[in-house]
Amino acid sequence: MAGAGYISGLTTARAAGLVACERCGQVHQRQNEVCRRCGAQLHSRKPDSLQKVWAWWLAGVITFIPANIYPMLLTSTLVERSESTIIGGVFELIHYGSYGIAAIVFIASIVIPLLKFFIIAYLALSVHRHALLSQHRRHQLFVFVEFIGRWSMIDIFVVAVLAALVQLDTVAAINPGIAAINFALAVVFTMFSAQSFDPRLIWDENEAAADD
Amino acid sequence: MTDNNTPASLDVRRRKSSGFGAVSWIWLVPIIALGVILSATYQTYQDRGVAIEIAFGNGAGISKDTPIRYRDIDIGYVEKITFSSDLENVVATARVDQNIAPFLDEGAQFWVVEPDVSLRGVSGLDTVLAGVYIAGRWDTVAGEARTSFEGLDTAPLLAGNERGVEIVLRTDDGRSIAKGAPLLHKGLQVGFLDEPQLDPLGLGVTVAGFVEAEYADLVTTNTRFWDTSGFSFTVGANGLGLNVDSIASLIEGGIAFDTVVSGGIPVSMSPDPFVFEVYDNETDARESLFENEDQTLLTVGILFDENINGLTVGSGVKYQGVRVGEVSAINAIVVEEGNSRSIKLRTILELSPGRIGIAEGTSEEDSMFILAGFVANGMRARLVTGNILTGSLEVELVDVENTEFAFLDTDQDPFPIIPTTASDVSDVADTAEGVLARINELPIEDLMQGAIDLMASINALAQDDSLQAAPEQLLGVLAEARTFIASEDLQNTPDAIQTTLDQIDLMTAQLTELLTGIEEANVVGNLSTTLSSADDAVKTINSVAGEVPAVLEQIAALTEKANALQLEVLINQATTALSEIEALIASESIAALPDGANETIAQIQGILSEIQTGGAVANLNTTLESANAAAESVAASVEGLPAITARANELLDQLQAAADDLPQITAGIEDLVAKANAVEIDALMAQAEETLESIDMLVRNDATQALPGNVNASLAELEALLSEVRAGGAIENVNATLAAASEAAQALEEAAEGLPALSSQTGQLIANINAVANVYGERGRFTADTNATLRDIQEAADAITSLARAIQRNPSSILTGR
Repeated sequence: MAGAGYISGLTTARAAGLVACERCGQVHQRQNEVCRRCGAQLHSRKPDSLQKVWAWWLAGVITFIPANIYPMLLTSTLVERSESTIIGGVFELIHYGSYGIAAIVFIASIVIPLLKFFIIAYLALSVHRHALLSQHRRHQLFVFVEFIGRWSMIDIFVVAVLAALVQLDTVAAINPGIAAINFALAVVFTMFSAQSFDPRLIWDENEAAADD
Repeated sequence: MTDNNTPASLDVRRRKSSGFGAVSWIWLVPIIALGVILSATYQTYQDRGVAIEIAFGNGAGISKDTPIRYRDIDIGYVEKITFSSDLENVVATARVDQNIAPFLDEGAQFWVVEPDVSLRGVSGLDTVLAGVYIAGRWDTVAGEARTSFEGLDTAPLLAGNERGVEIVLRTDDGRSIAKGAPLLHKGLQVGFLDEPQLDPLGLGVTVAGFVEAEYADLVTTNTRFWDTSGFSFTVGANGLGLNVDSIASLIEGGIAFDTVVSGGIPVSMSPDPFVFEVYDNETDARESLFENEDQTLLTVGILFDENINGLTVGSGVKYQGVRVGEVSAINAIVVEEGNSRSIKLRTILELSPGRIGIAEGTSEEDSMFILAGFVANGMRARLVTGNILTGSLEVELVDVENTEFAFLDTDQDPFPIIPTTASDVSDVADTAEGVLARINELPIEDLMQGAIDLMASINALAQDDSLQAAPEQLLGVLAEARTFIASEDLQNTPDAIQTTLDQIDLMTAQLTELLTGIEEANVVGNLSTTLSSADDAVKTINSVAGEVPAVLEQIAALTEKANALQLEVLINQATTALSEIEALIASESIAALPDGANETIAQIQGILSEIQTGGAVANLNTTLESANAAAESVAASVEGLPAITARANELLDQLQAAADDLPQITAGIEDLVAKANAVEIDALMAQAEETLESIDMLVRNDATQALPGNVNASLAELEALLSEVRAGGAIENVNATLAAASEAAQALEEAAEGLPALSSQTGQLIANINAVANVYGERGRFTADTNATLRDIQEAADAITSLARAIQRNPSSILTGR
């Protein structure tokens, strides 16, 4: 028995020689390449799933670095001109006593993206290696990552709204910095990465075990 | 489980190994991402500009992100501020635009722009809101780029890249100029001045000036600059002049210039800033044009032994009246002559060679040689008086003939010494002498001669016989005058006047007595009683008080009539009579007094004797007796008053009994009062007036006029006569008469309601008295008494009047008894 989530006697679709169309759900024989109903490509597993996961993941990490180094917000007023990075903004908020908002920004912009990177990497790595967590736990992590991914955009929304609202020419203006684009890309890439992961891979090790 | 359920045969198509052989296209995504990010990072790195360091004396408000501006455009920002290693400076590290960096070479200047409020306006106001910034200035030619600069403490003269001409001005005194002071041409600002700086040698002040490009051609080598700061005050043949320039130049100073003579070379052609002298005023500046400033001034010294108090730096040096230079310094030096040392005052002169005839272009050495020649030929320096009033001194170069040989001492360091000759400061004395000479020339002798002549003629006049006789005559006149004054008659006159006055005194005393008698007769008291009776009566008509005011009005009218008695006229007439008498006494006939005194007195005595023997006194007595009788008859007639009073009382009783008949009663009272009004006091007064007029007539009578000379005697006689009168009991008679009158008054008081009747009676009485008085018309004494009596009556009437007024003012006082 491989994992704690293993239930003996279950037959997978692949074991039964069947494959479901990912678009319309029609079940076909494995030998069919194309869905007879909707014409979509039929895959028992997502092709090159792990490669895609890693590729998107890497792109996300690459973009996430400048997202934290470069300024997120360019605030210019009559008197001064200031730039703030994400983490700088968090400290600024703490400095002004807005601990709640600081926490939200910190969690949404720093913690969650980083968490996603780690979870996705762990899930991808655990496919071929022995994992500490049970298959059920890992599947729950995958669901969590998919769900939480979009909420990382909260910082981008804030920047977009501020930049749209505060445009008083010379008196005061807020513009998004380079980091905003990078951050948005990082979030998008991570979401792609998460979507590229085929959760069925988690369970395939049972099959492999059964094969053994 | 059945076989039907057996899945189809497993067709596991092993995918191709996921090794490198099957690399998915998806890897392009991170690669592209990486490439983009890297390129963006590189771009950012490239764009961040060139780091430069600017050292400032102090921070002056600069901070991180303080912009660096060139021509008002941000070209960079301060990134950090640190101290230099020795803490001497504040080092601002900034990054400037890459395109600008190559221009930041040797000539680049940086300074901090702060708000500046000066007399000429406000600048850098934008820095109040936006904070200070660092301004930079450099030329437009890229040189060897530097990254380390020294910041300026203050903004340079030319903050921007204005085009123009820079000049240097030299002046002796930096007090009147300040940085930023205007350069004026015909009153308009065409440039400005930089910070004045002390000459390295301490001999003067130099200040850089800047003339804007469009005016640059106005400044040529022939241009002269002068100080316009403050105000100047000139006194001259044209009067007083006060010149004040703009307020700014008054405080900050200002330099004006003008180019009067054409032909100069524009200084904009000169590669280096051209140096100009600044003159104290426009006049000096213009005059200086005629000097050739190109020639070097000859600097020579003079050793003066004497006191040079009055010689100052700037004092003129003259040669034959022409100013050829000025004193540039005075100091004391120790001079060694042989074995001795002495302190001498060394005056240093600066001479314009051109003014002493040395041709233009001569070198300084040659000039000095020529000057030495002049000295050898007798040119000497001496002190002369520059201004008699102020005592200021000047140096004069003179050619002295036949003088001891001397030479220009060129061995003296640092300046050659011109030998001196005797000073000519005694010019003041000469001038004073000249004044005295002019006084001397005045024709005083002629004047004296004329005076002597005049005195001689006066003397001759004085020696004239007739003039000499004059004093004697005058003496005679005076003696006569003295005799006249000493004459017995004249001496006696004052005594006689004195006697007369004594008698008049006596008469007055008697009158007073008489009046006292009348007062004692208690007329007023009686009246008061009468009035209280009236009060009683009025109380009885208390219930019909409504009509009282009308009655009172009538009474008031009556009293007004009484008031209106023309006593004033009487008095006036008496006064007139007296003044006539006075005039008479003062008349010229008094002068004749001594002459005819005896004779006249004799005549008067005769007349008086006649009067005495004529029984005048007896007549008087008789008259008084008759007056007495008359008074008694008055009293008797007054006795009838009670009856009237009784009637009135009855009437009042009736009033009391029948208040309904009020109107009629009131009417009756009014009638009564009307009657009282009708009392003919006026007639009485008229008669009194007549009396006085007759006195007047008497006085004016020629006969009377002739009398003054005899006044003394007459008065004496009169006194005798009065004595007789007194002895004759006239006064007693009068007293008796008055007592009778008093009785009558008492009767009056008993019958207040009978007042009208009383008044008429009184009128008759007065008429009688008047008649009596008329009898004695020519004998003033009685008339006077009568007048006094009348006056007393008047006083009584006044008392009534005042009472009536009191009642008028406060009618209730009668009713309430107050």
